[in-house]
Amino acid sequence: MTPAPGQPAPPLPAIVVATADESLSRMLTFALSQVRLPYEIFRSGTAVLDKLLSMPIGARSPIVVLDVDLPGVDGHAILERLGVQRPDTFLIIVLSSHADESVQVRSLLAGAVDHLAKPFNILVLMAKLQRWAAMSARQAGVA
Amino acid sequence: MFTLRGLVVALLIEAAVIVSCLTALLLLRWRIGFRKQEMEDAVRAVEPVLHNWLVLNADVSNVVLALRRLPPHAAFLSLARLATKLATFERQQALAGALRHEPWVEAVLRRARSPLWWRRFDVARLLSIVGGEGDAGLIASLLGDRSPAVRLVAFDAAARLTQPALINRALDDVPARQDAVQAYQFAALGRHAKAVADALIPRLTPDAPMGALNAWIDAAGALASPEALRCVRQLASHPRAEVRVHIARALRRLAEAETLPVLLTLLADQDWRVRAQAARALGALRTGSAAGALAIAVRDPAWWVRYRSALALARIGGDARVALLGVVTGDDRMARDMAQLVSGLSSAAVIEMSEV
Repeated sequence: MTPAPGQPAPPLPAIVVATADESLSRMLTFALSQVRLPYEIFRSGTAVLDKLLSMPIGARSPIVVLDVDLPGVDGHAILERLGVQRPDTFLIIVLSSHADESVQVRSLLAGAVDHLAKPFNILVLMAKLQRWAAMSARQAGVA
Repeated sequence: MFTLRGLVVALLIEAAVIVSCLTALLLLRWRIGFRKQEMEDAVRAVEPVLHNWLVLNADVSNVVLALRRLPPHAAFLSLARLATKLATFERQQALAGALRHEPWVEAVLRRARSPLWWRRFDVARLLSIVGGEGDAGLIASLLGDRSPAVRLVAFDAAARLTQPALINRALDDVPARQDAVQAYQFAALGRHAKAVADALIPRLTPDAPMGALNAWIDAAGALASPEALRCVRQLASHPRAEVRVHIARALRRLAEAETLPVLLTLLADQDWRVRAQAARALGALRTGSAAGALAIAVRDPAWWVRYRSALALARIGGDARVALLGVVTGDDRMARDMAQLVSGLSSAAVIEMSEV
Protein backbone atom coordinates (compact mmCIF):
# COMPACT_ATOMS: atom_id res chain seq x y z
CA MET A 1 0.00 0.00 0.00
CA THR A 2 1.56 3.34 -0.97
CA PRO A 3 1.28 6.38 1.29
CA ALA A 4 -1.68 8.68 0.69
CA PRO A 5 -1.01 11.70 -1.56
CA GLY A 6 0.67 14.49 0.33
CA GLN A 7 1.97 12.18 3.00
CA PRO A 8 5.72 11.65 3.17
CA ALA A 9 7.15 8.26 2.25
CA PRO A 10 8.18 6.20 5.26
CA PRO A 11 11.80 6.83 6.24
CA LEU A 12 14.36 4.30 5.06
CA PRO A 13 15.65 1.84 7.66
CA ALA A 14 19.11 2.34 9.12
CA ILE A 15 21.90 0.14 7.86
CA VAL A 16 24.23 -1.32 10.43
CA VAL A 17 27.62 -2.32 9.07
CA ALA A 18 29.92 -4.51 11.14
CA THR A 19 33.45 -5.12 9.87
CA ALA A 20 36.87 -4.94 11.44
CA ASP A 21 38.56 -4.47 8.07
CA GLU A 22 39.55 -0.80 7.81
CA SER A 23 39.80 -0.75 4.01
CA LEU A 24 36.46 -2.45 3.58
CA SER A 25 34.88 -0.15 6.14
CA ARG A 26 36.09 2.93 4.25
CA MET A 27 34.82 1.60 0.94
CA LEU A 28 31.41 0.81 2.42
CA THR A 29 31.28 4.26 4.02
CA PHE A 30 32.00 5.87 0.66
CA ALA A 31 29.50 3.71 -1.20
CA LEU A 32 26.70 4.21 1.35
CA SER A 33 27.20 7.95 1.32
CA GLN A 34 26.85 7.89 -2.49
CA VAL A 35 23.49 6.13 -2.37
CA ARG A 36 22.39 8.28 0.59
CA LEU A 37 21.37 5.49 2.88
CA PRO A 38 21.62 6.17 6.64
CA TYR A 39 24.21 3.90 8.21
CA GLU A 40 26.27 3.16 11.28
CA ILE A 41 29.63 1.38 11.30
CA PHE A 42 30.89 -0.95 14.01
CA ARG A 43 34.35 -2.47 14.32
CA SER A 44 33.77 -5.18 16.90
CA GLY A 45 31.34 -8.02 17.31
CA THR A 46 30.63 -7.12 20.92
CA ALA A 47 29.68 -3.55 20.08
CA VAL A 48 27.41 -4.48 17.18
CA LEU A 49 25.72 -7.25 19.13
CA ASP A 50 24.95 -4.86 21.99
CA LYS A 51 23.58 -2.38 19.51
CA LEU A 52 21.37 -4.91 17.71
CA LEU A 53 20.00 -6.41 20.90
CA SER A 54 19.07 -3.00 22.30
CA MET A 55 17.96 -1.33 19.07
CA PRO A 56 14.32 -0.17 19.21
CA ILE A 57 12.49 -1.72 16.30
CA GLY A 58 9.55 -0.12 14.56
CA ALA A 59 7.74 -1.50 11.57
CA ARG A 60 10.87 -1.33 9.43
CA SER A 61 13.44 -4.09 9.49
CA PRO A 62 16.91 -2.62 9.86
CA ILE A 63 19.48 -4.00 7.46
CA VAL A 64 22.69 -5.45 8.83
CA VAL A 65 25.86 -6.02 6.78
CA LEU A 66 27.71 -8.47 8.99
CA ASP A 67 31.29 -9.54 8.43
CA VAL A 68 32.03 -12.95 9.87
CA ASP A 69 35.56 -12.00 10.94
CA LEU A 70 34.90 -9.72 13.89
CA PRO A 71 36.87 -9.35 17.12
CA GLY A 72 35.05 -10.10 20.34
CA VAL A 73 32.10 -12.07 18.98
CA ASP A 74 32.27 -13.43 15.44
CA GLY A 75 29.52 -13.01 12.86
CA HIS A 76 28.22 -16.57 13.11
CA ALA A 77 27.75 -16.28 16.87
CA ILE A 78 25.97 -12.95 16.40
CA LEU A 79 23.61 -14.56 13.89
CA GLU A 80 22.80 -17.33 16.31
CA ARG A 81 22.20 -14.93 19.21
CA LEU A 82 19.91 -12.77 17.11
CA GLY A 83 18.09 -15.86 15.90
CA VAL A 84 17.27 -16.73 19.50
CA GLN A 85 16.69 -13.31 21.05
CA ARG A 86 15.37 -11.26 18.12
CA PRO A 87 14.23 -13.65 15.40
CA ASP A 88 13.13 -12.20 12.05
CA THR A 89 13.88 -8.68 13.21
CA PHE A 90 16.74 -7.80 10.88
CA LEU A 91 17.62 -8.26 7.22
CA ILE A 92 21.13 -9.62 7.54
CA ILE A 93 23.73 -9.90 4.78
CA VAL A 94 26.74 -11.96 5.76
CA LEU A 95 30.20 -11.15 4.39
CA SER A 96 32.72 -13.95 4.48
CA SER A 97 36.05 -14.92 2.95
CA HIS A 98 34.58 -18.34 2.26
CA ALA A 99 32.22 -19.10 -0.60
CA ASP A 100 31.73 -22.81 0.21
CA GLU A 101 28.22 -24.09 -0.14
CA SER A 102 28.14 -25.25 3.47
CA VAL A 103 29.17 -21.83 4.78
CA GLN A 104 26.48 -20.12 2.72
CA VAL A 105 23.80 -22.59 3.74
CA ARG A 106 24.84 -22.24 7.38
CA SER A 107 24.44 -18.45 7.21
CA LEU A 108 21.07 -18.66 5.49
CA LEU A 109 19.72 -21.27 7.88
CA ALA A 110 20.85 -19.11 10.78
CA GLY A 111 18.66 -16.27 9.54
CA ALA A 112 20.67 -14.31 6.98
CA VAL A 113 18.91 -13.19 3.81
CA ASP A 114 22.10 -13.19 1.74
CA HIS A 115 25.72 -14.30 1.83
CA LEU A 116 28.49 -12.57 -0.09
CA ALA A 117 32.01 -13.90 -0.48
CA LYS A 118 34.82 -11.38 -0.24
CA PRO A 119 35.94 -9.68 -2.42
CA PHE A 120 32.39 -8.90 -3.50
CA ASN A 121 31.02 -6.57 -6.11
CA ILE A 122 30.26 -3.34 -4.28
CA LEU A 123 27.78 -2.19 -6.94
CA VAL A 124 25.76 -5.38 -6.50
CA LEU A 125 25.74 -4.94 -2.73
CA MET A 126 24.59 -1.35 -3.01
CA ALA A 127 21.80 -2.36 -5.40
CA LYS A 128 20.68 -5.05 -2.96
CA LEU A 129 20.75 -2.66 -0.02
CA GLN A 130 18.67 -0.10 -1.87
CA ARG A 131 16.18 -2.77 -2.86
CA TRP A 132 15.81 -4.17 0.64
CA ALA A 133 15.61 -0.71 2.13
CA ALA A 134 12.78 0.19 -0.21
CA MET A 135 10.95 -3.09 0.47
CA SER A 136 11.33 -2.66 4.20
CA ALA A 137 10.04 0.91 4.05
CA ARG A 138 7.07 -0.16 1.91
CA GLN A 139 6.19 -2.93 4.32
CA ALA A 140 6.27 -0.41 7.13
CA GLY A 141 3.77 1.63 5.16
CA VAL A 142 1.52 -1.45 4.95
CA ALA A 143 1.83 -2.43 8.62
CA MET B 1 97.55 -15.52 31.92
CA PHE B 2 95.22 -12.61 31.13
CA THR B 3 96.81 -9.22 30.91
CA LEU B 4 94.93 -6.11 31.89
CA ARG B 5 95.41 -4.82 28.37
CA GLY B 6 93.89 -7.96 26.88
CA LEU B 7 90.87 -7.70 29.13
CA VAL B 8 90.35 -4.04 28.21
CA VAL B 9 90.52 -4.91 24.50
CA ALA B 10 88.01 -7.72 24.96
CA LEU B 11 85.72 -5.39 26.88
CA LEU B 12 85.94 -2.75 24.17
CA ILE B 13 85.17 -5.29 21.45
CA GLU B 14 82.19 -6.59 23.43
CA ALA B 15 80.92 -3.07 24.00
CA ALA B 16 81.28 -2.32 20.29
CA VAL B 17 79.32 -5.46 19.39
CA ILE B 18 76.54 -4.59 21.83
CA VAL B 19 76.35 -1.00 20.64
CA SER B 20 76.24 -2.08 16.98
CA CYS B 21 73.50 -4.63 17.74
CA LEU B 22 71.46 -2.02 19.55
CA THR B 23 72.03 0.46 16.74
CA ALA B 24 71.05 -2.10 14.14
CA LEU B 25 67.87 -2.92 16.10
CA LEU B 26 66.96 0.73 16.39
CA LEU B 27 67.67 1.36 12.72
CA LEU B 28 65.61 -1.68 11.74
CA ARG B 29 62.77 -0.58 13.95
CA TRP B 30 62.89 2.87 12.43
CA ARG B 31 62.97 1.42 8.91
CA ILE B 32 60.00 -0.85 9.61
CA GLY B 33 58.07 2.10 11.03
CA PHE B 34 59.00 4.25 8.06
CA ARG B 35 57.93 1.57 5.57
CA LYS B 36 54.69 1.00 7.41
CA GLN B 37 53.90 4.71 7.41
CA GLU B 38 54.86 4.93 3.74
CA MET B 39 52.46 2.14 2.93
CA GLU B 40 49.66 3.64 5.02
CA ASP B 41 50.15 6.95 3.21
CA ALA B 42 50.12 5.13 -0.14
CA VAL B 43 46.92 3.28 0.76
CA ARG B 44 45.28 6.56 1.79
CA ALA B 45 46.35 8.12 -1.50
CA VAL B 46 45.06 5.27 -3.66
CA GLU B 47 41.86 4.42 -1.82
CA PRO B 48 39.75 7.43 -2.91
CA VAL B 49 40.50 6.89 -6.62
CA LEU B 50 39.93 3.17 -6.21
CA HIS B 51 36.58 3.85 -4.55
CA ASN B 52 35.62 6.17 -7.42
CA TRP B 53 36.49 3.48 -9.91
CA LEU B 54 34.72 0.65 -8.08
CA VAL B 55 31.64 2.51 -6.86
CA LEU B 56 31.17 5.29 -9.42
CA ASN B 57 32.66 3.52 -12.47
CA ALA B 58 35.20 6.31 -12.91
CA ASP B 59 38.01 5.85 -15.41
CA VAL B 60 40.57 3.28 -14.34
CA SER B 61 43.33 5.59 -15.60
CA ASN B 62 42.88 7.62 -12.40
CA VAL B 63 43.95 4.58 -10.40
CA VAL B 64 46.92 4.09 -12.72
CA LEU B 65 47.99 7.71 -12.24
CA ALA B 66 47.62 7.56 -8.47
CA LEU B 67 49.87 4.52 -8.33
CA ARG B 68 52.38 6.06 -10.71
CA ARG B 69 52.91 8.99 -8.33
CA LEU B 70 54.03 6.67 -5.53
CA PRO B 71 57.46 5.09 -4.96
CA PRO B 72 57.49 1.66 -6.68
CA HIS B 73 57.60 -0.24 -3.41
CA ALA B 74 54.66 1.70 -1.96
CA ALA B 75 52.68 1.39 -5.20
CA PHE B 76 53.17 -2.36 -5.22
CA LEU B 77 52.23 -2.88 -1.55
CA SER B 78 49.16 -0.65 -1.67
CA LEU B 79 47.98 -2.35 -4.86
CA ALA B 80 48.56 -5.79 -3.37
CA ARG B 81 46.65 -4.85 -0.25
CA LEU B 82 43.71 -3.07 -1.82
CA ALA B 83 43.10 -4.81 -5.14
CA THR B 84 42.68 -8.27 -3.69
CA LYS B 85 40.54 -7.03 -0.81
CA LEU B 86 38.18 -4.66 -2.53
CA ALA B 87 38.00 -5.65 -6.21
CA THR B 88 36.40 -8.76 -7.67
CA PHE B 89 38.47 -10.90 -10.04
CA GLU B 90 36.85 -9.31 -13.08
CA ARG B 91 37.71 -5.84 -11.85
CA GLN B 92 41.23 -6.96 -11.05
CA GLN B 93 41.56 -8.18 -14.64
CA ALA B 94 40.53 -4.74 -15.92
CA LEU B 95 43.05 -3.08 -13.60
CA ALA B 96 45.76 -5.54 -14.63
CA GLY B 97 45.37 -4.59 -18.27
CA ALA B 98 45.83 -0.92 -17.45
CA LEU B 99 48.80 -1.40 -15.13
CA ARG B 100 50.90 -4.07 -16.78
CA HIS B 101 53.32 -1.79 -18.66
CA GLU B 102 53.67 0.87 -16.02
CA PRO B 103 57.32 1.77 -15.24
CA TRP B 104 57.04 0.83 -11.58
CA VAL B 105 55.57 -2.58 -12.49
CA GLU B 106 58.44 -3.22 -14.89
CA ALA B 107 60.89 -2.12 -12.18
CA VAL B 108 59.51 -4.68 -9.72
CA LEU B 109 59.37 -7.45 -12.34
CA ARG B 110 63.04 -6.93 -13.21
CA ARG B 111 63.84 -8.53 -9.85
CA ALA B 112 62.70 -11.92 -11.09
CA ARG B 113 66.29 -13.17 -11.20
CA SER B 114 67.24 -11.76 -7.80
CA PRO B 115 69.16 -14.12 -5.50
CA LEU B 116 66.93 -12.91 -2.65
CA TRP B 117 63.81 -15.03 -2.37
CA TRP B 118 61.65 -12.19 -1.02
CA ARG B 119 62.37 -10.12 -4.11
CA ARG B 120 61.25 -13.00 -6.34
CA PHE B 121 58.25 -13.43 -4.03
CA ASP B 122 57.27 -9.81 -4.73
CA VAL B 123 57.54 -10.50 -8.46
CA ALA B 124 55.25 -13.51 -8.18
CA ARG B 125 52.86 -11.58 -6.00
CA LEU B 126 52.69 -8.70 -8.47
CA LEU B 127 52.17 -11.10 -11.35
CA SER B 128 49.27 -12.66 -9.45
CA ILE B 129 47.58 -9.25 -9.68
CA VAL B 130 48.70 -7.76 -13.01
CA GLY B 131 50.12 -10.73 -14.90
CA GLY B 132 48.99 -11.12 -18.48
CA GLU B 133 49.27 -13.74 -21.21
CA GLY B 134 52.68 -12.33 -22.16
CA ASP B 135 54.07 -13.22 -18.73
CA ALA B 136 53.55 -16.95 -19.15
CA GLY B 137 57.27 -17.64 -19.52
CA LEU B 138 58.20 -15.69 -16.41
CA ILE B 139 55.42 -17.32 -14.40
CA ALA B 140 56.51 -20.75 -15.60
CA SER B 141 60.02 -20.07 -14.34
CA LEU B 142 58.69 -18.92 -10.96
CA LEU B 143 56.60 -22.09 -10.72
CA GLY B 144 59.92 -23.95 -10.63
CA ASP B 145 61.56 -21.58 -8.14
CA ARG B 146 63.64 -23.06 -5.33
CA SER B 147 61.63 -21.16 -2.70
CA PRO B 148 58.28 -22.82 -1.78
CA ALA B 149 56.78 -19.42 -0.95
CA VAL B 150 57.59 -18.13 -4.43
CA ARG B 151 56.22 -21.29 -6.06
CA LEU B 152 52.95 -20.97 -4.13
CA VAL B 153 52.33 -17.37 -5.13
CA ALA B 154 53.46 -18.11 -8.70
CA PHE B 155 50.73 -20.73 -8.75
CA ASP B 156 48.24 -17.99 -8.05
CA ALA B 157 49.70 -16.01 -10.94
CA ALA B 158 49.49 -19.04 -13.23
CA ALA B 159 45.88 -19.63 -12.27
CA ARG B 160 44.97 -16.15 -13.56
CA LEU B 161 45.82 -17.13 -17.10
CA THR B 162 44.12 -19.64 -19.34
CA GLN B 163 47.19 -20.91 -21.16
CA PRO B 164 47.08 -24.71 -21.37
CA ALA B 165 50.84 -25.06 -20.74
CA LEU B 166 50.57 -23.14 -17.46
CA ILE B 167 47.43 -24.92 -16.38
CA ASN B 168 49.08 -28.27 -17.07
CA ARG B 169 52.16 -27.17 -15.15
CA ALA B 170 49.95 -26.08 -12.25
CA LEU B 171 48.06 -29.38 -12.23
CA ASP B 172 51.35 -31.29 -12.28
CA ASP B 173 52.37 -29.37 -9.16
CA VAL B 174 49.22 -30.11 -7.15
CA PRO B 175 49.93 -33.75 -6.15
CA ALA B 176 53.24 -32.82 -4.51
CA ARG B 177 51.66 -30.39 -2.05
CA GLN B 178 50.15 -30.79 1.42
CA ASP B 179 46.38 -30.64 1.90
CA ALA B 180 46.30 -27.02 3.09
CA VAL B 181 48.40 -25.88 0.12
CA GLN B 182 46.23 -27.90 -2.26
CA ALA B 183 43.13 -26.18 -0.92
CA TYR B 184 44.76 -22.84 -1.73
CA GLN B 185 45.70 -24.09 -5.18
CA PHE B 186 42.18 -25.33 -5.89
CA ALA B 187 40.73 -21.95 -4.91
CA ALA B 188 43.16 -20.26 -7.32
CA LEU B 189 42.37 -22.70 -10.13
CA GLY B 190 38.66 -22.16 -9.60
CA ARG B 191 38.85 -18.82 -11.39
CA HIS B 192 39.03 -20.62 -14.73
CA ALA B 193 37.09 -23.73 -13.90
CA LYS B 194 36.27 -24.63 -17.49
CA ALA B 195 39.85 -24.46 -18.77
CA VAL B 196 41.14 -26.33 -15.74
CA ALA B 197 38.48 -29.01 -16.09
CA ASP B 198 39.47 -29.51 -19.74
CA ALA B 199 43.06 -30.09 -18.63
CA LEU B 200 41.99 -32.31 -15.74
CA ILE B 201 39.79 -34.74 -17.67
CA PRO B 202 42.60 -36.53 -19.58
CA ARG B 203 44.40 -37.13 -16.26
CA LEU B 204 41.45 -38.88 -14.60
CA THR B 205 42.28 -42.38 -15.79
CA PRO B 206 42.56 -45.62 -13.81
CA ASP B 207 46.23 -45.93 -14.82
CA ALA B 208 47.31 -42.62 -13.29
CA PRO B 209 49.66 -42.91 -10.28
CA MET B 210 47.55 -43.19 -7.15
CA GLY B 211 48.87 -40.13 -5.32
CA ALA B 212 48.46 -37.88 -8.35
CA LEU B 213 45.06 -39.36 -9.19
CA ASN B 214 43.78 -38.66 -5.67
CA ALA B 215 44.89 -35.03 -5.91
CA TRP B 216 43.25 -34.60 -9.31
CA ILE B 217 40.04 -36.18 -8.08
CA ASP B 218 40.07 -33.70 -5.20
CA ALA B 219 40.64 -30.91 -7.73
CA ALA B 220 37.61 -32.05 -9.74
CA GLY B 221 35.55 -31.99 -6.55
CA ALA B 222 36.83 -28.56 -5.54
CA LEU B 223 36.04 -27.16 -9.00
CA ALA B 224 32.62 -28.84 -8.94
CA SER B 225 33.03 -29.33 -12.66
CA PRO B 226 30.27 -31.68 -13.90
CA GLU B 227 32.41 -32.86 -16.84
CA ALA B 228 35.39 -33.73 -14.67
CA LEU B 229 33.21 -35.29 -11.98
CA ARG B 230 31.54 -37.55 -14.52
CA CYS B 231 35.01 -38.89 -15.31
CA VAL B 232 35.56 -39.35 -11.58
CA ARG B 233 32.28 -41.23 -11.31
CA GLN B 234 33.46 -43.68 -13.96
CA LEU B 235 36.45 -44.51 -11.74
CA ALA B 236 34.21 -45.65 -8.86
CA SER B 237 35.23 -49.29 -9.24
CA HIS B 238 38.96 -48.47 -8.93
CA PRO B 239 40.79 -51.38 -7.25
CA ARG B 240 42.49 -49.17 -4.63
CA ALA B 241 40.37 -48.21 -1.62
CA GLU B 242 42.35 -44.98 -1.12
CA VAL B 243 41.20 -43.83 -4.55
CA ARG B 244 37.59 -44.84 -3.91
CA VAL B 245 37.67 -42.71 -0.73
CA HIS B 246 38.57 -39.64 -2.78
CA ILE B 247 36.00 -40.53 -5.42
CA ALA B 248 33.21 -40.81 -2.86
CA ARG B 249 34.25 -37.49 -1.35
CA ALA B 250 34.32 -35.70 -4.71
CA LEU B 251 30.97 -37.07 -5.87
CA ARG B 252 29.18 -35.00 -3.21
CA ARG B 253 29.52 -32.17 -5.72
CA LEU B 254 27.80 -34.01 -8.61
CA ALA B 255 24.04 -33.81 -8.16
CA GLU B 256 22.89 -36.09 -10.99
CA ALA B 257 20.58 -39.09 -11.04
CA GLU B 258 23.45 -41.35 -12.18
CA THR B 259 25.45 -40.50 -9.06
CA LEU B 260 23.01 -42.16 -6.64
CA PRO B 261 23.57 -45.81 -7.65
CA VAL B 262 27.33 -45.24 -7.64
CA LEU B 263 27.24 -43.83 -4.12
CA LEU B 264 24.95 -46.59 -2.91
CA THR B 265 27.49 -49.10 -4.21
CA LEU B 266 30.26 -47.23 -2.41
CA LEU B 267 28.09 -47.17 0.73
CA ALA B 268 28.36 -50.96 0.71
CA ASP B 269 32.13 -50.95 0.06
CA GLN B 270 34.34 -53.34 2.01
CA ASP B 271 36.49 -50.41 3.26
CA TRP B 272 34.91 -48.37 6.09
CA ARG B 273 36.56 -45.16 4.91
CA VAL B 274 34.83 -45.46 1.54
CA ARG B 275 31.49 -46.20 3.21
CA ALA B 276 31.88 -43.14 5.45
CA GLN B 277 32.63 -40.80 2.55
CA ALA B 278 29.75 -42.25 0.52
CA ALA B 279 27.38 -41.54 3.43
CA ARG B 280 28.72 -38.02 3.67
CA ALA B 281 28.22 -37.48 -0.07
CA LEU B 282 24.64 -38.78 0.06
CA GLY B 283 23.91 -36.32 2.86
CA ALA B 284 25.47 -33.44 0.95
CA LEU B 285 23.37 -34.27 -2.12
CA ARG B 286 20.27 -34.57 0.05
CA THR B 287 19.14 -37.69 -1.77
CA GLY B 288 15.98 -38.64 0.07
CA SER B 289 15.78 -41.98 -1.73
CA ALA B 290 18.99 -43.04 0.04
CA ALA B 291 17.35 -42.76 3.46
CA GLY B 292 16.75 -46.50 3.72
CA ALA B 293 20.35 -47.40 2.90
CA LEU B 294 21.63 -44.74 5.29
CA ALA B 295 19.37 -45.98 8.10
CA ILE B 296 20.98 -49.39 7.66
CA ALA B 297 24.46 -47.81 7.55
CA VAL B 298 23.80 -46.21 10.97
CA ARG B 299 24.17 -49.79 12.27
CA ASP B 300 27.59 -50.20 10.63
CA PRO B 301 30.34 -51.77 12.78
CA ALA B 302 32.60 -48.75 12.14
CA TRP B 303 31.90 -45.72 14.36
CA TRP B 304 32.82 -43.26 11.64
CA VAL B 305 30.36 -44.80 9.17
CA ARG B 306 27.59 -44.67 11.79
CA TYR B 307 28.44 -41.04 12.48
CA ARG B 308 28.48 -40.00 8.83
CA SER B 309 25.29 -41.89 8.06
CA ALA B 310 23.44 -40.32 11.00
CA LEU B 311 24.61 -36.85 9.99
CA ALA B 312 23.52 -37.55 6.41
CA LEU B 313 20.02 -38.54 7.55
CA ALA B 314 19.78 -35.40 9.69
CA ARG B 315 21.02 -33.24 6.84
CA ILE B 316 18.57 -34.69 4.30
CA GLY B 317 15.69 -34.05 6.68
CA GLY B 318 12.04 -34.95 6.14
CA ASP B 319 11.52 -38.73 5.94
CA ALA B 320 15.25 -39.26 6.43
CA ARG B 321 15.11 -37.53 9.79
CA VAL B 322 12.10 -39.66 10.67
CA ALA B 323 14.21 -42.72 9.80
CA LEU B 324 16.94 -41.40 12.09
CA LEU B 325 14.47 -41.01 14.93
CA GLY B 326 13.35 -44.56 14.24
CA VAL B 327 16.89 -45.74 14.95
CA VAL B 328 16.75 -43.93 18.30
CA THR B 329 14.11 -46.43 19.42
CA GLY B 330 15.71 -49.39 17.66
CA ASP B 331 17.34 -52.44 19.19
CA ASP B 332 20.95 -51.75 18.14
CA ARG B 333 22.57 -49.99 21.10
CA MET B 334 25.47 -48.40 19.22
CA ALA B 335 23.20 -47.20 16.42
CA ARG B 336 20.76 -45.90 19.02
CA ASP B 337 23.50 -43.92 20.80
CA MET B 338 24.68 -42.38 17.53
CA ALA B 339 21.15 -41.48 16.43
CA GLN B 340 20.49 -39.85 19.80
CA LEU B 341 23.71 -37.89 19.56
CA VAL B 342 23.01 -36.54 16.09
CA SER B 343 19.25 -36.02 16.35
CA GLY B 344 19.84 -33.46 19.12
CA LEU B 345 22.00 -31.23 16.91
CA SER B 346 20.74 -28.00 15.34
CA SER B 347 20.56 -27.70 11.55
CA ALA B 348 23.58 -25.40 11.48
CA ALA B 349 25.59 -27.84 13.61
CA VAL B 350 24.64 -30.75 11.33
CA ILE B 351 25.90 -28.86 8.30
CA GLU B 352 29.08 -27.75 10.00
CA MET B 353 29.92 -31.21 11.30
CA SER B 354 29.07 -32.80 7.96
CA GLU B 355 31.63 -30.61 6.24
CA VAL B 356 34.47 -31.30 8.65
